[in-house]
Amino acid sequence: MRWIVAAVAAALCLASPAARAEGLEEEPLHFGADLQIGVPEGVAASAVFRPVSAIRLWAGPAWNYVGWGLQGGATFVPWQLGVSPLLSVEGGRYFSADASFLARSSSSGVPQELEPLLKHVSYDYAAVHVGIEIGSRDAFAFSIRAGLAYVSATASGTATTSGTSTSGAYTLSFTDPHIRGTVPSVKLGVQLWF
Amino acid sequence: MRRAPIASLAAAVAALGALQGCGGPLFFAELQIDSVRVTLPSQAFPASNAPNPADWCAPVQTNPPCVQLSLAYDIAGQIPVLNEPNVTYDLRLTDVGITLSATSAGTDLSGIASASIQVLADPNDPASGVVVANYARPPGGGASSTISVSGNPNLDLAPYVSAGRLPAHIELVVDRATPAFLADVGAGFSLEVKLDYGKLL
Repeated sequence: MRWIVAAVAAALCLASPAARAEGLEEEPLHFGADLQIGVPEGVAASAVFRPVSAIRLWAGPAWNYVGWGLQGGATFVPWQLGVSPLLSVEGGRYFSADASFLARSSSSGVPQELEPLLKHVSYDYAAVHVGIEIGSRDAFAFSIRAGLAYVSATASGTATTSGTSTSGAYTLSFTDPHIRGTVPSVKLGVQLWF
Repeated sequence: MRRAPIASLAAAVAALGALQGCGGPLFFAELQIDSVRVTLPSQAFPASNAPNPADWCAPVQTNPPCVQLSLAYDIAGQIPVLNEPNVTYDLRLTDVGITLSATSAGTDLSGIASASIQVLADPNDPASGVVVANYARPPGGGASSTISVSGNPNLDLAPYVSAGRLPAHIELVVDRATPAFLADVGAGFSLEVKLDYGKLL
């Protein structure tokens, strides 16, 4: 009996590192859920799919206090430790929503004249982030990311204002402004695998 | 084994930085408005027989007579963002409308045979103007309270904005007696504003 145990131990010791690693690498869980909050993404809940260990794909609804949208993306996690680096790309669209309450609120700083333009506001965005994930590969993890987002926003409508300038009285109106640009983006997330 | 992912992250960061070298700033904002309309109400146009040479297009009055009016659009005063540092903009005229004010009821603009609207490189020199819109009365044109003309969309007016103001000069060739009148002069513009706010960070 002692001879058998010694033989098995010797076999394990002599086994190649690759073979040992193969034995230890378990198949990761493929499905999870994710909740993220950030700018300009808003609050997003996602279903997450992990086809291979290093890649995650996600998609789901998003909410930014003014309206609802859809978002999705992909994350690359090169290796899994207690603290893991990650790289992600994502995009989303917030559908037309009424943000005119901002112009009616004196504390928002939004000029009241802009109210007609804020009745139909929508935006698309795309972002790339780098960050870290803290936690378990197959249970609960927390992530923090920072990067750059490209935002393209459209407001439909016409705003009109009157006043007096150095040229005298004037009436100014503008229609359907479109804003696009880049903004720093940060987001926090929690992730659960099951 | 772990160098590749680190290299990937470094490449991603480098790619972000490289965006700055792609012809534009990394941090920017652009505002595009296809229709900005500025109306200057109750502008006083001289009569076709105005006796004051200052109202004439030339030192010696022509036949048919030509009268002129200078005005200025306070672009920066009306759109304050244009005054911000690191802002550049492109301003193009889409149309001009001269509409009789209510106080000029009873007058009509049918006596105006042609009109020329210029922007001035030098606000004090009408000869420095570039024509941005032209009007010619249509054949058989009857009584009208409005003249509408299309602007030259190929000309960026930003270089003509001086101290925040866009000086304009209107000349009217009048071949039927027309009294002095008040009219609202509306101009439609397309505007694209670019802010490089990375310089502010």
